[in-house]
Amino acid sequence: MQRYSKLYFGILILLLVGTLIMAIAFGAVPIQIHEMYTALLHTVKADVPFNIHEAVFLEIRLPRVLLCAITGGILAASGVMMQGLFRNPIVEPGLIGTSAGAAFGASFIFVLSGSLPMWLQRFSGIFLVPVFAFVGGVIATVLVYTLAKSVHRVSVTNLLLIGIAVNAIALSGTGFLSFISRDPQARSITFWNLGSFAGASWLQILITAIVTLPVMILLLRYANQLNALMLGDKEAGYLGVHTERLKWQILLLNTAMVAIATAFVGVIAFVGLIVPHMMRLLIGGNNRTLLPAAFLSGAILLTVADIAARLLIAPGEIPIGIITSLVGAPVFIILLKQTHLLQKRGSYD
Amino acid sequence: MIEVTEVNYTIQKKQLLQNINLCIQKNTFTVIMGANGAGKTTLLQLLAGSIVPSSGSITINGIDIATLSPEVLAKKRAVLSQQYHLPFTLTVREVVMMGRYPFFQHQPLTIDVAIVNQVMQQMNVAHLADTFYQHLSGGEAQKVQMCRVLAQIADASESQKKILFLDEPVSQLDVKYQYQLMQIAQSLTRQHVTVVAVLHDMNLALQFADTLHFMKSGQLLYSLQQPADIDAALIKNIFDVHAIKLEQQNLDHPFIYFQPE
Repeated sequence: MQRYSKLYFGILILLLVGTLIMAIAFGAVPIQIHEMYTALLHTVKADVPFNIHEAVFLEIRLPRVLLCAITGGILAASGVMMQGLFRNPIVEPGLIGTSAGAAFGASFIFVLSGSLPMWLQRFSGIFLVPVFAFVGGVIATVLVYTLAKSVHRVSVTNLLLIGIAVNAIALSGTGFLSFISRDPQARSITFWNLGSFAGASWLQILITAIVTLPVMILLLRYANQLNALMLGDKEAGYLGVHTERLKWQILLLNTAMVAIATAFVGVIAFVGLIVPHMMRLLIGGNNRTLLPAAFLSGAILLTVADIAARLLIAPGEIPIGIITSLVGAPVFIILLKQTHLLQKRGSYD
Repeated sequence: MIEVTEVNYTIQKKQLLQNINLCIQKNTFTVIMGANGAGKTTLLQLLAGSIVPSSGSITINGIDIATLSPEVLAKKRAVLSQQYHLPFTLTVREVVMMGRYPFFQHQPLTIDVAIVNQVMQQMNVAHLADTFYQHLSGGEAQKVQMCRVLAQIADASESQKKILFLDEPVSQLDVKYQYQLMQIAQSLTRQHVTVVAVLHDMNLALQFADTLHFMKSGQLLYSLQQPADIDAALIKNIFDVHAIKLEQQNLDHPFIYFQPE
């Protein structure tokens, strides 16, 4: 596997660049490659005013495509970490409450901000929403984790069932908020439940990148310890891993990353499930290579899904969460069958 | 030297170990035996520092192991557990490399790669290096896990003494590899490694152990400094099985023949 990993990364990067260019080119206003080039050239030089195509490219298309790619990477990497943590391939942020909790936190402050002073309202969309999304995500995830944990182990059956319950609570909370809020707000809340990149801005990308980059670097440092965890909690301890501490660190870092993405683009389910599964089949389960590979392919997959979301009912647009769920749910069922969850091996030590 | 003083271990109001006193000399091969549920694995986990005694103390060279961090312990001792279930695909080489995790930060150093290759040669699994662990047979998997713990204690020296804990290390191996593994473990005692093993095969234990301990219902009942001193009464008491002790002049250890009623 190691021998081919450079080749795989090369291919993934090429694919990512290819899909990014395609995603930029397609849309209501088609953008030619030479327009991308001149727009970037004009940005650097800042001498010639932009024409309309260049403006669409720089202000709408590029931020949207970039935010989409980063989000896909975050969700896939998060899937890898969560699955490693719970030692099971059928866990992802959408299933254990992280995304739904974050969406609830985001819509909570969003509705509340209507009654905040004007100056605070201007910041709420970009700063308060991610913070509350993080708080909501942490509460939901920790709730699921601690409730699913019996005496000394986390049973995966419990984990998924409690995940369903916590998801339901968060969803009905979000539903209640959209019920009591006025119309334009209510529509925005629906957006958090379905996911969309329509409102992407450069500031959102900046904030997401500022959080994601250090978190990914830290998570990569934990890759070996996460490998050791595959042997079991005790066995990882024999190899020098502080297992409980490691779990909490990963849980928090992971939630931070997912919450930021959820705050800006809403809940996008199943990316964290499909991508790690595919990449394990391709390059194996070593987290050192799996984590960056999953990030790249998550970016590719979600970019492709976004192209589909914009093209299928053009000039309209399908919320991207609907597309990922349509593709992801069957994969989830297949995985469920493979891991014999409902049979004897309901839990792992 | 490992010293266990008046150790009790209770979990959920159930007393698993009761007043254990034990002394394990450095560079020896110690074997712990006993019926199922006697507390052998629990004792091994206490010695390895993964669980903490409810009362009493366990020291290594005079230092209480409860005061040692997982990182420090990982450089002193390795543990082979009974069973492993890996939820994801890894190659054999990647699994064995885990034994070196306590010694490098992110990427393995040249010495780590060399050690991994060497232990895989030693256990005859070098040809499986790039195979997925999930595709191995039970015996092969056990050998690979043995490689992993051998890699962890590979740089034992006069100044860096190490301890190897083995919990039923030969349960899935064929006769040839049972003996090979025991020989490797025995040879380690001459290379600054103290070996503590839980075994079920009494004749294997008699052939390799320097000291033999017998447990029953959470208590340490017998400690034989000379394993050859074993007798039928002891076996009857511990295992509730009738046995005959056979001795032959050309063998340097006795042989136990079991005769259940």
